[in-house]
Amino acid sequence: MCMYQRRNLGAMVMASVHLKEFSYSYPFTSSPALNTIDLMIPSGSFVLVAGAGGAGKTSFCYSVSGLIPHFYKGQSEGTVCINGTDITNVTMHDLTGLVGQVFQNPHNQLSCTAQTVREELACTMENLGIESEVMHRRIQETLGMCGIEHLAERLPTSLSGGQTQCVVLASVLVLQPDILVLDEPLSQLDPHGRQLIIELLKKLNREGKTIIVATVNPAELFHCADKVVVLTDGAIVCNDTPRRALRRLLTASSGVLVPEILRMVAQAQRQGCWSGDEMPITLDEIAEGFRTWQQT
Amino acid sequence: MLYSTGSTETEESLLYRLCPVTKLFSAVVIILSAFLLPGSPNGGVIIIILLLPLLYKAGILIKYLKTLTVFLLSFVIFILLIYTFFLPVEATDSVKLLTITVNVEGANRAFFIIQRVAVLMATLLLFSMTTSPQRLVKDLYSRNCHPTICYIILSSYGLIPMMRDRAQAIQQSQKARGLEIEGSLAQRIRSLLPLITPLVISVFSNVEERAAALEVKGFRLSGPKSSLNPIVEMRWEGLLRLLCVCISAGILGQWLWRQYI
Repeated sequence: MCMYQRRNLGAMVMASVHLKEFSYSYPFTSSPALNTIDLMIPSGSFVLVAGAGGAGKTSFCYSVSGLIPHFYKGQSEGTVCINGTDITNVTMHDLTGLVGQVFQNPHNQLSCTAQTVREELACTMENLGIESEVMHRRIQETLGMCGIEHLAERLPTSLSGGQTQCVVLASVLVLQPDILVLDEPLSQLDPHGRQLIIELLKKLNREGKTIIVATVNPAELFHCADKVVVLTDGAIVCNDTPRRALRRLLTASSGVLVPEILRMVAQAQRQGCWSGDEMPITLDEIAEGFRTWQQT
Repeated sequence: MLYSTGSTETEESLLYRLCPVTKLFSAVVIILSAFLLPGSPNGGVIIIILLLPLLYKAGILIKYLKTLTVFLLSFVIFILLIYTFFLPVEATDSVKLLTITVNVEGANRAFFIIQRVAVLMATLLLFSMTTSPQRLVKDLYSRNCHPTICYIILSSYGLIPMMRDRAQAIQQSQKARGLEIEGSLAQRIRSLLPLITPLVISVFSNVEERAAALEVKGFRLSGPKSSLNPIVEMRWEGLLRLLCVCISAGILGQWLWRQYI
């Protein structure tokens, strides 16, 4: 249950997700995938985890969803707490309905037991023993919410990359988790699909769900995020609001993609051709900055 | 995939509607009877022949026979040639055809082996053509089969399309890098290593993520399960399965008796 209001980040609240001095190394590796991560993600917030390939984004997602340490063994130090409880003290069963994870490759997340998308959505609920009537209702709601009613009777393995991405997200949402962890959720989508998923994530966040998105291209989600966490070599190098994180990303080399338009704005700002104190994170803000500069 | 459907008639036919586990039990009985009963495996052959009208009714008889022929043809020719012409032969067991000596005893043995293998192949093909892997896993899972077994079936099934796509992508990218994958046999053999190595590595990394995804989906959870569309079995299927178990036990019993007593 969500106890906190969105954007009430300054208030002293019990953390929804709290990584305390958390380090993790995969078996048979010498360098840590995550290095002394200290991060509090309040309930109901929208956090982007950015970084280049191999920076530790996926390991971060696995840590929050409980796959580390329940599935991926290895050496870990520190703790990961969900709603104040150390996840090493709970089972994957307890975490299944609480934290929903969407994997980087959506094709790997299809159960392959389902002959239709409807059955794919039911898969985890069946494993949790949820009643048939509840399943039918939730599936119908989720299909509508994700805009994939037309795919309901299709074979999941016959879908395109973008459609599979939507189905996998729906199969997680149908469990109504409090925390949603998404690893590169927009990577396989066309512009329309991206917009659909972004709007859906914003809606879910407004409803109080905690959203954690790992991405190499955070710019398109800056406008919905509360915080941007930048990882380099498994360590946090930046944990700030999107605007301030963007300024840092423009100056430091972190391997994170920053759109050319934002680089141009930064350049224009330096040369006094764009008005605004903070970095813009939407096209409207960019246009407003140029308009103001033109008027002055 | 061998599993083939498409028309409503096919999906509504008896062979498709039978529970996958019932079909599995029946397949085991047919195969055991072909391999463990004394004498020729005529019983298995007769059962397969009796099932052909059902395949015809389901609209897949021609496809079934074609596929079976493709699978068996090279094996039949190979076994017949080896046993009939190339095995040492007693003078009394041979027939001279022009300049070639035909081993009659060998030919009989070849027919015996071919019959057994044909029953095995025909049964497995019948099972795989009429049973979707998804339905099989669902049925096994709903009967509290160990998740590891379900997982092995699921992973293998999920890997096939993934490997096919991956192999295609690797082939195209290696071609773009200038790898000669067409031409003489030697050239093709040389190109195998750069094609197979990335395929195997990528499959292993995907298997791990697939396993993690199944973990998140609660496949290893104990406790009561539910089903959105439970597999409905016909009233007499339980009896048929019981009969299969009894016959299998009988066949195994007589085989052990003949072997050790």
